[in-house]
This record gives sequence, C-alpha cells and structure tokens, in this order.
Amino acid sequence: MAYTQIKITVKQPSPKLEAFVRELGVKKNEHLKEVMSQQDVTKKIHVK
Amino acid sequence: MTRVYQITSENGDEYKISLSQNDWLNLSGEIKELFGLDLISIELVRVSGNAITSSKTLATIEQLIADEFFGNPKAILFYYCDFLNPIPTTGKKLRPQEYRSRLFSDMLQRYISQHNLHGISEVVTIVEGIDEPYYFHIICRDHHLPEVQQIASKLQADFSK
Repeated sequence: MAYTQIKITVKQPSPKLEAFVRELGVKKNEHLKEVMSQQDVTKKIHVK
Repeated sequence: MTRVYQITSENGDEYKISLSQNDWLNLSGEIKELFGLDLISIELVRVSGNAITSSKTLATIEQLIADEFFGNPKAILFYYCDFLNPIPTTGKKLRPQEYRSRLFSDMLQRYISQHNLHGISEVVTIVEGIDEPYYFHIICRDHHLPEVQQIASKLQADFSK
C-alpha cells in the first residue's frame, strides 16, 4: 500500500497526559523562537 | 544534529524549517535506546510575510522533509501541531492545530502520490484535552509501525496513572 493513515483519538486523557502534551506545546513554542532567531542556517533556498 | 533551512518564496516571504534530533522533546534518547530509531522533529515557522504559501514553496518544504526521511533508514518523523501561534486567516473556522494537522497530512499525501512511493505510514494522534485538542503526527516506514505502536502504548501507560 502506498500510504496508510492511522488515527488514534485519546478521549478524556488522564490529567498527567494532558499536562504532558500541553507542556510539550509550550516547549515547542520556545523551540520555534530559537529556530526563528537561529543564524546558523544549513542552506538558504530561493523559490523561483 | 539539527538542520535549519531558510526558504524565501517567490514573493519574498521567509520561512525556516528545522529538522532536528535534538531532544527538546525529552523522548528521542529513550526511543533510540529502546527501539534503535532516530526521532526527528520537524519545526516550520514563517519568519516574515503573510501571503498565501505557494504550491512551489510547499513542494520545496516537502522535498526537504523527504530528503531527511529517506536519507536515514532508521528515521521516524515527529510533528507536533502548534496550538499557541495563530494561523493566517483562511475563512475556515479551524483551530490552529487542526489547520496545521490537515495541511501537514495533505502535504505528505501529495508528495507520496506525486512520487509514487510505497510503504509509508502516518500515525495521527489526537489527545482531546479539556480546553484544547492536541495533534501529533508520526511518519514512519510500514516496517517500523510495530515500534511506533509500542512507543505510543508506552507513552499512554506512563501517563495514564
């Protein structure tokens, strides 16, 4: 098969799981800011 | 290792994409140790501009992600759909994370179809929190699905107490 998508829905997650995924989101936001400000770019690409 | 690409679109909008094994997730070390797989997290951010992202720019992003994935036979890709930063107005009443989730899946499916690829799986996990749903995508080769399912089960078990 070329491509398979598997969807998993966690309904009513435990408070611990929900806190973990929310914390991941906060960490990701911090990481995004680092990526934005990062001067050490591997490659610059101009789309034409 | 982290690779950061700076992409300038036809109309001058600027994006950065980061493909990283650095462990901001605090998960990749454990996954490497337990399953021998390299967890690569994908971050995509618009640095400037607000034009609609062109299909050529999307194709460039897709190719960078594909090169990272196919260049490493032990790679599994991880994309967490950001829910904190707003999305450009689309007229659709979607939460930012749902919009990003749909866009990511669309990009993946388009790339797979255009390149006639086989044996790729995408596991989309939605955690329905009280205030927000949270979306995660894992892309892997079909033969790594058992390991990915074990990782998902382990995470659920670790956080179910």
